[in-house]
Formats: sequence, C-alpha cells, structure tokens
Amino acid sequence: MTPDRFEELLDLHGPDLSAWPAHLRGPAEALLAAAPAVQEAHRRALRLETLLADLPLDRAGPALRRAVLDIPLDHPLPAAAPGAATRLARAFGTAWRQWTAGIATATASALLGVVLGAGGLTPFPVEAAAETLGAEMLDAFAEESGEVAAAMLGDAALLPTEEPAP
Amino acid sequence: MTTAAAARTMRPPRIRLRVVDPDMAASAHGTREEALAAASDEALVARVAAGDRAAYAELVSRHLDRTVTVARRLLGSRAEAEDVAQEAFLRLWLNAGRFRPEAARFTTWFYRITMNLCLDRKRRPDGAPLEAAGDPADPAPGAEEALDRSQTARAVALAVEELPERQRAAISLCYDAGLSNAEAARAMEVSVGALETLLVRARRALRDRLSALMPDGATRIARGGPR
Repeated sequence: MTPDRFEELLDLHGPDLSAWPAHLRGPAEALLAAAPAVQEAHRRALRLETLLADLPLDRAGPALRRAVLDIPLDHPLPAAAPGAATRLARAFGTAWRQWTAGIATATASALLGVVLGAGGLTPFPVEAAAETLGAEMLDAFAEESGEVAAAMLGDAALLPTEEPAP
Repeated sequence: MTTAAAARTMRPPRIRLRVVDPDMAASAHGTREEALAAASDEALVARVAAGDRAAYAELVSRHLDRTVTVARRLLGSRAEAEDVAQEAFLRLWLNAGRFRPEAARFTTWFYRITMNLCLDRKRRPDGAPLEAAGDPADPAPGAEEALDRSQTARAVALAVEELPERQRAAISLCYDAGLSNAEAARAMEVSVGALETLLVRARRALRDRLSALMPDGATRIARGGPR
C-alpha cells in the first residue's frame, strides 16, 4: 500500500482503521506504523472527524417544539375503516357463534357417552341384548353338542332316556 | 473535547437500534414514559400509526433538533429549516402507517422525507438563497473554553456550508443525523458508492478549508485563523 492509496482510503473509510475492510487493515496498519507522512495524514483525518462529530445541533426553539408537539391535536387521525375481518365478524358473527356452540355441545355429549360406556358406569342396551342372546345360544349349543356326541359314540346312556312304552 | 465527544470521534454518532415494544418494555421499566424512552424508533412509529401521541412526542424529542439541523444545513435558512421540520413531523404523524420496518430503518425513512422537503423548497423560485444562511447555533457557551469551542464550531459549520449541496447533505446526514453510509445513501436516493464519493470529496474540501484547525496548524485559529 502506498501513502497515496492510504490517503484515498482514509477519505473513503475514515480514520478508524478497525472500520476498514479486513483485507486492507493489515497493510494500512503496517504503513501507518512505518511512515511519518502517513501518520500526519491520519492525525489530520482524525481531527476532522472530531470537528465534524463536535458540530453542535441546532436546538429547536420552544415555539417550534410546541407547534410540532401540537400536530396530533391540530390534525386528529381519522378513525380507521373496519377491515375485512371486522366486516365478516359483524355479518356472520352470531350465526357462527351459534353453530360452533352446537358443535361443541354435540362433541361434549359424545365424549361423555364414550367415557361412561368405557368405564362400565352404565350398560349399553346393545351389550345387554348381546348377553341375553349369548346365553340362549350357549344353551342350544350345549344341547346339540350332547346329542351329536352320543350319536358318534353309540353310548345310549348319553342319549336322553326315553320312557319305554308301556 | 467532552467525554461524549471523544467517544464519537472515531465514527459518526449512531442512533440506537433497539426493537423494543413499549408495552412489552413497560413490565421491565417503571413507568410508561420510561418504557417509551427505552423503545426503538421503529416500535414508536408503529404506536404513532395507532394514534399514540406519547410515542409521537418521544420521536419528536429524539429527532426534532437533528431534523432542524439537517434542514438548515441544506437550506441555509433557520426559518425555512423550522418550516421543513414542522412539515416533516406532520407527515410522520399522518403517514406513520405507511412506514415498513422490514424495508428500512425509521431514520432512513424520516430523513428521506426531510431531504425531499428541503429539495422541494430549493426548487421553488422564491426559495431563500444559500447566502441567507445564518450562523450556526452556539453550543451553550459558559466559559473561555466554551468560547474557543464555539469559534471552532463556527469555523467548521461555515466550511460545511460552503460545500456543494449534495456533499453538504451527505455530511449532514452522516454526522448530524447519525446515519450510516448505507442509510444516508438511501435517504438521498443514491447508491452507496455515490454517497461515499460525496463524502470523500467533502472531507478533502473540509480538510483544505480547515487546515488552520488541523494538528500542524492547531494554534493558528487562536491567533486569528479563518472566521
């Protein structure tokens, strides 16, 4: 890096070398450490930066500050027009609430029924009917099974005794 | 140089960039005023869009002086700068809802409004000529040292005012408004490269004009340097 290039970069990036692009920092620091003319340029850039940073701001006078602060009072914002969501809610809000309330009630009822049924807290009508039907079927099956077994084994004793005809 | 000024030496002053919502911050800070003071510009402008006058007042407190300064540097007239500041804050109040924080920082958006208002005024045929520029405000003198500072600041301010308009705008946005190069470029609606070119030329011109204030001539100003 040459002193001229250093001065160009000084004007471009300012005197804070840590703010320079990383690939330029090393050569710049080496040159700054070695060249008195570059050190002089750096000091001048630093001084200019200080002078500019120290420039006082123009303070707004009380009249201007009051006028600016009063802008919201002098120019009230118009009430915001209702958005699409608000308009939809107004149009369908009641129907929607009724519908969702009905769905919620039905769902809760169904859940309650499932819980009661699964816990055996109340018999299902279908289950009671199935129990009755099952007992009848078992009796019929036992009776029929006995007859079949006797026929196969020839064990008359197993057959129902018939009263000999007088 | 004050401690604060020393801290700003290496870089232009930066405006804080914290994205804090005042309501969320209210739990961490004692009062709503403290919460507003801790909120970012972007959070405040969102509140302004909803009609929050306290958030608006906080933005005024933060940016009114800077806005007047930037406008005066561009227009050269204190009265016109005050008109521009008032118009800029009116637009902030009425158009805060148009600000898009994902697209730009508040300062970029707001100082672009200020810049455009200044340029509009300069285009008017009845715009005040640059020669009408008033003296810069004195930095609250209170002692001999303050007087020296005031004289130095006056010399620097005059040198800045002698710069071409766009260089002056670039310097003012970076040093008075505290914008980064990229933000200043957006506020001026130019590329970053173009902005940096303006800054380079401005710094060279200022160094030449303020040679009496530079390290090798620092004492010359005290013996009656440029005034």
